[in-house]
Amino acid sequence: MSDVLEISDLSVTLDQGAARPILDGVSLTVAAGDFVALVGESGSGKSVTSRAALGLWPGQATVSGSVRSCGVEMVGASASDLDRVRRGQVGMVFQDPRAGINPVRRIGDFLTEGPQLALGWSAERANARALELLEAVSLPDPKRHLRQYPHELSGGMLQRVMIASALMTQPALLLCDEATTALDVTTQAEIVGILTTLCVDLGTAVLFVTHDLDLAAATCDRIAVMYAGQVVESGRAEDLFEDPHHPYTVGLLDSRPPLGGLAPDTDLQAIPGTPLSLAESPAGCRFATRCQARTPQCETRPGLLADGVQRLVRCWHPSGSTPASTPSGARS
Amino acid sequence: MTSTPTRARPRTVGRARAVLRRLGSLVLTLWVASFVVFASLSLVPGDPTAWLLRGHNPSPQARAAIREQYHLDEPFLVRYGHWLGGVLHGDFGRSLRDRAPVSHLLATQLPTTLTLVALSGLLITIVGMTVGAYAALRHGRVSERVVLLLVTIGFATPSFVAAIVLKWIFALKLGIFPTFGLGDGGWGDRLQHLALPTVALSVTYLALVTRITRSAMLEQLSRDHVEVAIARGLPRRQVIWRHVFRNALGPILTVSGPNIAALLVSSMIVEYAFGLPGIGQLLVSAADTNDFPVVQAIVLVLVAAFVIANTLVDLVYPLLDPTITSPQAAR
Repeated sequence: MSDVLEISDLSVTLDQGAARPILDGVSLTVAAGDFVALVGESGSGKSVTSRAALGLWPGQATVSGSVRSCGVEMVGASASDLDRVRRGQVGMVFQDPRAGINPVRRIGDFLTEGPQLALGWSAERANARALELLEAVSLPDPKRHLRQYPHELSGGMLQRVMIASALMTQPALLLCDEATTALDVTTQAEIVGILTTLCVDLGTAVLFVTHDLDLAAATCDRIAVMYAGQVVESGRAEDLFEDPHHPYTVGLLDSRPPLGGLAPDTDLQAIPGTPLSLAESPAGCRFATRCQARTPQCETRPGLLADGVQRLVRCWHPSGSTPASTPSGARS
Repeated sequence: MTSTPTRARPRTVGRARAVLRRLGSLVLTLWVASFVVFASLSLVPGDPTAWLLRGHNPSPQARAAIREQYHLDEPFLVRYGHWLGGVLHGDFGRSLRDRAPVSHLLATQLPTTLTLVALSGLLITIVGMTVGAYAALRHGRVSERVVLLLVTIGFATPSFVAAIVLKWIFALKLGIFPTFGLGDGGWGDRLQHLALPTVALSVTYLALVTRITRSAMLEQLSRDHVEVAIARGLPRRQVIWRHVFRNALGPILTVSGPNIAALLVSSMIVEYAFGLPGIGQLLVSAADTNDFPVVQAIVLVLVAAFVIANTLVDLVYPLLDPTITSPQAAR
């Protein structure tokens, strides 16, 4: 299976006002038809990573490394290459559909303008495809919705419209940037259900950016955990859940409220300290200041090392049942 | 929630009802304005008969006859009724100075003012929106800063100062444009005579529209839906046109209503500066000579223009921004 997204050693540095890169040596691959989750807290760089797949960089930033979307290199890409990828091969579902859909244009315009203006589809073809997709995302009255304005639909309905629009051209890769965060929990479940069903049917790979570990585990085959601009651990969803190796992943999993409620006299385990700001740039491990298992070795930077089958972890002292292969100190 | 027509009808009815209500409030505002205009001029000290008699001292009978002819002997509300009834039929009474019908004076002077305001509105809209959009798209570059500097200067320049400077440069030094009057030739000559007044009248509002266009465009450029459009690979020109400029029209329209009215008021000064026979000149001379009916008529025309312009903006706005509708229409 070929990869629809290959990010290797991607670094993004803001030209002003940041002591450390916002992305620091990020590597990530998404195979065709694969569902991959990118998990992390706000500011960890997960959104910047997903946007990189479309060649959307933050303003005034220096980019190095490589991002290949459907075989096209996006770092330093020409306008025509960017257009080619954005217009048909990679789609994106944004977090807030209320803000992401132009409020003064009709839903029909939103769905059809891309294929019509950028790919030269006829109005009939674009409309037929739009109707087909609005039905596929289970909207009650597709014909009417095409003539409605965004404010006439609920947030959940609009997110379905957003998904439909991202799938108009049947892209090979769909980026979902916190696509369900703005929605209530029941709507969230419906949207995720629709999204997974549709993408499995179409054979579209999904990069699911979220801060919700459970959602990531429920939807995706693989999970990559990001912290302060780096991927700190990645692996198969069930492995990562059952046996987290990086102290940050352990902390994230422990800080989820249990479904049955907390046992009496216990507190929710929060990760101590605060996330690294862009002004802080520790020489060693990014997570060291908040880590319980810190040793003097953590003053030097750990590489992203193979730790078991299909497992990568960026830590000198990975925990977990599998004994870690002792890193030699060299960066992978 | 069955078929489309049953859903569509309440919306159309709601929209029509909102328009009717807006027109109703327009009529009410105009009526109140007419009362205020009439009443405020009645409060001005000085007896109109004294001016009508121009220093003559006729017999009490003649004086009474004059008072009766101008309804000056009747109670205030009755006089107002007479005046309003006339106004509704297009009769604003007769000028106290030369007995000419005020409507006739308006009809000869108003076209000049309206032409001036229309030309100015056209200049402001086309140039202001173009330059504003240009500045927004050059955000952070030198060209944007140059535009902003010009905008600041323009905004701080009153029309009478602009009039003097323009006359000095283009009429006295360069001799390209005439400085006075309307000319007596055809439209070409008239346009040449109106060129400098139009620019003088436009400067301040041109700066305003440029600034509003620029900031509205910048505001839209930072919106998520524009990023979505870019992420979908829409041609850049289409992104600007369909998602940035189109959405910026709302704020621009909002300032346009009061702008049109303000142009009418400022045109008085410009007409005076360039010796144009418009209602500005008429107003100044009428106010000078206590010619109440003329002053009343002009003030009423100005108030009406202001209210009508704002009503038009309110009625057009929902077409530009579908999220703005009356509460009834939204449901």
